[in-house]
Amino acid sequence: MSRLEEFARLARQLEAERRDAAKAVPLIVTDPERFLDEPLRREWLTLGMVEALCSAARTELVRSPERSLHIAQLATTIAEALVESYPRLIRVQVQAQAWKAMSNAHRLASRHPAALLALDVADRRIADEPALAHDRATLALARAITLREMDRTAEALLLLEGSREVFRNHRDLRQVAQCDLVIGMTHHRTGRFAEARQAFMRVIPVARAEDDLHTMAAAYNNLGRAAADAGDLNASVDALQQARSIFRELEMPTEIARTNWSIGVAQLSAARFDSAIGMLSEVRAELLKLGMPEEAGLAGVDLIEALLATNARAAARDLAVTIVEEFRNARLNERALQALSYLRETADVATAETAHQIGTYLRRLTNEPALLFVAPDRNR
Amino acid sequence: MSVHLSAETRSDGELAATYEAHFDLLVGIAVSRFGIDRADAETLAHEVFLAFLTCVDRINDQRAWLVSAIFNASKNYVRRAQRTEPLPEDGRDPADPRYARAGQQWPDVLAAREAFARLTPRCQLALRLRHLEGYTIPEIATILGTTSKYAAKLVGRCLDQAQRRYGGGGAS
Repeated sequence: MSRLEEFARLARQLEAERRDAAKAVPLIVTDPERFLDEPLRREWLTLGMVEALCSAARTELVRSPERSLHIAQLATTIAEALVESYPRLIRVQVQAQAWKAMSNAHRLASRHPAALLALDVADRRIADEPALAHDRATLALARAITLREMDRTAEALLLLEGSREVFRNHRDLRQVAQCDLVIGMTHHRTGRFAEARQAFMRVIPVARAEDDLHTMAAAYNNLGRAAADAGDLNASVDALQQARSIFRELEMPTEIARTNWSIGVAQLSAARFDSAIGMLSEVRAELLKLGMPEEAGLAGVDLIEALLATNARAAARDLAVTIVEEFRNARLNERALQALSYLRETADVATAETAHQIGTYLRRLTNEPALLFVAPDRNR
Repeated sequence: MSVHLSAETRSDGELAATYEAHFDLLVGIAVSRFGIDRADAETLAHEVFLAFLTCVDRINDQRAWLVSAIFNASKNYVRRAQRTEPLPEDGRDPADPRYARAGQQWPDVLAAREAFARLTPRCQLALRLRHLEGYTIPEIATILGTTSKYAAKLVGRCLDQAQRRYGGGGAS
């Protein structure tokens, strides 16, 4: 068989496998964990099935990282069991994709060491394949996102620059935009607001040209936050409003609430306390309605900061009491409860700065669950 | 739920046409720009097309993607070739000692593979991580998102299951 014939045969086979997988995967997605404990069905041992499961794992990421992990584990097992009639290059390519799907699920659940271990396996699968430079860049991007979340920003930036170059050479503009988005977020985390804003600005025209509304909204949202931290309130609110209108178009209530929250925080930073109090109250109510008590609590701490700044101590204390109760009922992190209890008990004497420090601690706690709470110095 | 379906947008005929239209270009780049011999250049170009097959729906500019892919593949190939020592012309070519008893080992290898294939996905994954990837129990626990105690128990249970199946036992 000639190479062209082999290629055409494989393309036909893949089409048929994708059609079959499209029928099987919805059943698996209803209860993926069950299928981890049943023998693998022979008809599932196809490349099309691995692709479809990786795609389903991606879709499930936001809804349920656990479900996404189980789907990715199934995809990985199938990818590793693919028969040798597939070309080796394609087998290792989809094996790497499946391990990456597993890594993503761990990352979304804040299990960063697990995410890195899964990426190590993915990297090993394709390290020796000259033709898979684009795949290696995709894995490097995934690793950079994980490292950024672990505050290993220098390593993340190094990987991002390399990946961006490969994607740019392949004219894969969508991935270039993803790199720029993560570069901006990394600079933002290290306080380099100007570089962060430049990176986010690069994303917007590309995402617009690609009609990629999610990325465009994410870029505006991050741009707004970076501008707020740089003290540029007008630019911040403009960008955040753009993000909000896209999230409305996409019908994403959670993201709309989060963007309103960012607008409230920007107003707080600019000492527009009355506007901030109005906006943050609405955001908190919306987050509670959406069943997000942890984020509602964090928005509440921002609201307490605004209330303390206007000397509304009774309202601040009442809110602190309510948030402690909500956290307790939702069985959220004990250390967070400790910090919030401190805020409740000191509400009569605390400053807005105290609330700000507790808000900063709670935000760090989401990435570092073992971080100890140290009471802010009240005499400062 | 959305499932990746390239069949709706790219038929195998279109893909084959893309292959035919670009294959010589890719081989030409590998040969003329990187000095790779024609046979190896053809293999590289074919591999670039195989990689292209699984991600074609996400590619905007096929020609740019293929050209960039062959550039990267060729660079990688040349870098690798520089690190390879050729065998001496008159040197002996001894057989790989690992295969000295291949004839006797094959039945066992095939039986072990068959036993492994009949395990549940959870067991296949746990045993792969432990015995093929060489991870420790705590690392396996991390990757599976569970405790070390459970991971150790799982690996032990799966090994028992595999041994029973290797010995011709039924499902547990």
